[in-house]
Amino acid sequence: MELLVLSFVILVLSGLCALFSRRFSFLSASCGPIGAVAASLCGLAAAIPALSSAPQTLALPWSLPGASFSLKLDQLSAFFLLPLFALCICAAVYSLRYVDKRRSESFFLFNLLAASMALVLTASNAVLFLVAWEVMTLVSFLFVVWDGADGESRQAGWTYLVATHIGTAFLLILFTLAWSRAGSAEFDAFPKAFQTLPFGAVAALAVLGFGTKAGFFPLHVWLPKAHPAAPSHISALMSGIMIKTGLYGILRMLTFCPPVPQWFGWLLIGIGIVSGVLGILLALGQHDIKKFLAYSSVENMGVIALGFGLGYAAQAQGRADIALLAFAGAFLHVLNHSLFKGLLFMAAGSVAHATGTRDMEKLGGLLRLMPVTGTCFLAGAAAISALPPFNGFISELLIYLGAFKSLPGSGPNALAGLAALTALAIIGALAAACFARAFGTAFLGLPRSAAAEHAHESPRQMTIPLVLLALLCLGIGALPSFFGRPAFTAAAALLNIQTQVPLPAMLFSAGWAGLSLAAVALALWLGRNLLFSGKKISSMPTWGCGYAAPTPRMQYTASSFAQPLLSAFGLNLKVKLEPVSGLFPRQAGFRSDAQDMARTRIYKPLFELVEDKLGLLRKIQHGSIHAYILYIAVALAFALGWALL
Amino acid sequence: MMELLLILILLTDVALCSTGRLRVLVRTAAWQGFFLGLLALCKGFTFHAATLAAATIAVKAVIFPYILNRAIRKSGTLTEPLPYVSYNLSIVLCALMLGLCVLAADRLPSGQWRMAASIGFFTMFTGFFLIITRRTAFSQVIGYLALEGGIYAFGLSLWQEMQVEVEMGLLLDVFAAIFIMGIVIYRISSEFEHADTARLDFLNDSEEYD
Amino acid sequence: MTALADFLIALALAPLLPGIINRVKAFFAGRQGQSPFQLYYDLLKLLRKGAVYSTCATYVFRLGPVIGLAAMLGALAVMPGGSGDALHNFDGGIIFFAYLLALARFAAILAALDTGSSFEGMGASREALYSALAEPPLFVALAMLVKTTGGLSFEAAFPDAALLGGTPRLLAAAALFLVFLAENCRIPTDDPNTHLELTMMHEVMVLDHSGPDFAFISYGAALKMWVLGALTARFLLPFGPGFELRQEALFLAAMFAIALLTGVVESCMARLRLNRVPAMLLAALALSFAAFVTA
Repeated sequence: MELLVLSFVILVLSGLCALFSRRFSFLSASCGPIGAVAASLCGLAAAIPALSSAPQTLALPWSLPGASFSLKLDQLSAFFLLPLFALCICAAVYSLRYVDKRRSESFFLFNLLAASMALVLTASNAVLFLVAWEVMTLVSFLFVVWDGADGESRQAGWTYLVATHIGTAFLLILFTLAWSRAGSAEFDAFPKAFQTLPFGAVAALAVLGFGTKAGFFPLHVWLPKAHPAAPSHISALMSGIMIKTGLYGILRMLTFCPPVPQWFGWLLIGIGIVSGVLGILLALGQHDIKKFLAYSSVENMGVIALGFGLGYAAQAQGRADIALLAFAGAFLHVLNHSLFKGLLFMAAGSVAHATGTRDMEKLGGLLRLMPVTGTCFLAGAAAISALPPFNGFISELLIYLGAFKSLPGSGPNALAGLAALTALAIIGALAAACFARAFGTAFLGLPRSAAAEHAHESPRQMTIPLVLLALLCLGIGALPSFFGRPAFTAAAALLNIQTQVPLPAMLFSAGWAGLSLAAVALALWLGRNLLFSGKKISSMPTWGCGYAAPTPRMQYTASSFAQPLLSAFGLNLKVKLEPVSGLFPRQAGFRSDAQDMARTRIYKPLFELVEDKLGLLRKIQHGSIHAYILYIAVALAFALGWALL
Repeated sequence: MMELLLILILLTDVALCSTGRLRVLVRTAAWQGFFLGLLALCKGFTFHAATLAAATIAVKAVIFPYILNRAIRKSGTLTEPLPYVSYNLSIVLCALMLGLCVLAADRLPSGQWRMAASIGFFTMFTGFFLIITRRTAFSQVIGYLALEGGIYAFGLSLWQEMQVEVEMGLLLDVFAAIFIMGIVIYRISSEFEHADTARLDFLNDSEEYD
Repeated sequence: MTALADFLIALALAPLLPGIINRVKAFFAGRQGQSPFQLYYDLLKLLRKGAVYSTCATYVFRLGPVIGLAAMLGALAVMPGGSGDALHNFDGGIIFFAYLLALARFAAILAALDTGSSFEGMGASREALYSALAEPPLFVALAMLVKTTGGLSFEAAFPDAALLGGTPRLLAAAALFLVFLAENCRIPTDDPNTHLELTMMHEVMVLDHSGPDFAFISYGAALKMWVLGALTARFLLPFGPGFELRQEALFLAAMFAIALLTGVVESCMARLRLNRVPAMLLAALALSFAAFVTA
């Protein structure tokens, strides 16, 4: 616990140092990231032992009503802290060279963001939690509008602020209800309060409130706008950790109201299927490389929700063995997704940094120019597509096992398991297609524009974090019996199993299978090289069907690649076509976009309706300061009158 | 044997959902009628069962297809134009309906005939589905047939001894209905040069069309 | 030991399957046809050759065939043959199997995109589409197996498949045969004999590979056909573990029967229109779903 507090202190102090060092030199602000690395190491040193020990608490008084500065570090918090601090180290190192303007402010806010997220994960008082939650939201909002010159990022910031505060409003209701029933805002008093509330209400408020942060479909609309707009190391933190805090919130609330009924498990499975399938389909339609990654985060949150849903459904049926597998898979996927999504966002940031564009249709051939970044992106792509021997495969394997094991016997759980695993299969295949497409168009083939032609490899400070994350992805995939331990501990804690659970033997075998696969591939590679020794190897242009003057612009584009897949799944691209016409045609154009059905079908009509109905209220808002003061006076008089009555 | 027949009926239902070629639809519906007829014999080979099977096969697998094929030939419509739900989606919805029907039939206390009940439900819903989502009168007639087939299979699963009279009455109703529809379709298509029921709504006397 | 024997038999006999298919097609066309051992000769010849690489190819292109073949060897290692034993078994082996197929596809798609050819990109896109649609029927069929047997590896699940009635097994095998056709790029989803780049799918993705690389790809494709054939066959033949000559013979006969059937299908059917292929794979899904609910 002391180490955790120490890490908070270091984060804030080094952030302040960075903020006030702007006058001195370009380098002096670097104390921010260096402090972040040190604090993260401290935090890891606090979190890793906490995984296997009894919960530690700390309570300090605070003058706000109901509030106290009380922290609790139990297995659930500790598990979520792992990816937070691991990713913070990498993002901080990456930011040293990535951030080139307003460094002091950026580093300060980065540390503040890290500290607020750690506080959200460990706060044990509702007021403290909400304060940390709000700081986290506001700081990330500042990052979303960081490059706020263009209207797009302003709009993204606006959407983000509105969406996330609507979510927070639900949380306020939930916490106020609990507070008024329990008479205390301490989380420790909440279980008693939740017993007097209907579970449906608690679940609905938690899912709506925290689900907005977690990016569940259709509450995700802010996510694909806000994440790409932020600087890339912040996108990595937002997609890697911040959306997981929403999930953490749901899990935390559920620990207050056991037993979780079966229907809630099915609800989570449903949310997971919808978020997963639609998220990955929408990702497939994007050609902005960061937007595409943001949609893929929606998909991965879906997979995680699916895992937890399977776990709760099995737990309610008394099948702790299945629940353990599903929970462990979901927890491991939380960790894995932080690692590979962080990696991918930072690699995409390097690409945008080197080429000046995030549009996949303008990239190409970057693997030759940026070999390290490209290879790391490839590793991340394989990992997120759940391909062996990477880590994504292990976590999805565990979730699959949870689904498969709930099949025997009939009844709704079997059908839920079937639905879950069918959805996982579709998601898996589409994710592989999606990431093959992204890597293929951005890094393979030939450069499609001058910007991509003149790209350069990023400096070492930006590549080392990527390599580190890629190695972690590979390591977890190859040694799941070692890295899977924390996930199983957290899962056991969620199931209230106090003893050390044995790891399933399949975890070891799966790792061994991945390793032997790598060994076979290596052997084949050596054999291939042996076959080639002494043979004639020549180089020719790609076969172009006999066409004599091919240009790089003729390569298959990302949109063309996605089109058959999208239309087969009933999602049509919105195509804008300026056709070629006349004898001397002017320049023609073609553009396609995948439209988010949540935006066009749900929010747009909804907000138009609201705007329509609330248009009358505009009359009140006319800019006259006298009238505004009058409103305030009337409100005050009303409040006073209320109090007197 | 019964299991095999039920599976075949299930497959014909899936096939009905997945195509818009009217001749294929009629042929599939005929096969379905044939399998349904055989299903009656699975309860034991009695005189009643044999009569029922013979009548069902004669009506559903021979007479109806003949009438429908004749109507199709005369109307010149060979495929279903633009159904309200695409064929691909139809197959998926069909699979979902099957899942629901199995779940629903699980609650019935019908013992070893539970599978017949679930397939019966499923066939009924396939019928509803066809009537709702297809445009031409032919497909709707076939949906109607499937609906009746589903009721028949479900009835078989419920009663120890099938009341032949009930089933015969039902069959007669459907026979009359199909017969009349065959004539009507023929009339519709000769009168309006198409058999698209969605386009018959201009016959209503609301003021929009005056 | 018997597992190793099965593994070696598969390695040795896999290239025979395309040969048989070609022979059947030749028979239907009234031709003499090439020797069923043609692929062996081709492989030997390719392995002795050098290679031509595209000027824009990176290591991803060179690695593609290697990863593809390694994945297929891995898939073969978890799939039991005639003896009922597999080389590597663990709970979740069936999922490992499916994801190895995905890995091979991922490598092939990337290698195709690495050439910068629009034809290869087109082929890659269609391959991705078909595989995405072929995945659900495969998984639902596996789910049916697990639902009845509780085994999460092929070796554990297949022997107990005898508990299943004949009809669900038949339905699942039919669904898996459709998946087999789609995954192996046979008619009615893809035509291995087409000679127009625009209409090719799998073949166009490997246009730029040559020499030993192409040998790896052809051999990998033969192995893929073998493992998916074995999967289909073993749904129908639920053997117990251990070696028996009768089982082995039955299994091999079933494999060749599947090749024969593929040849017949290829000779009697035309290729489906691109936008009708999803309907076929959805029908496979409906079949395996029917198998699941009736099992």
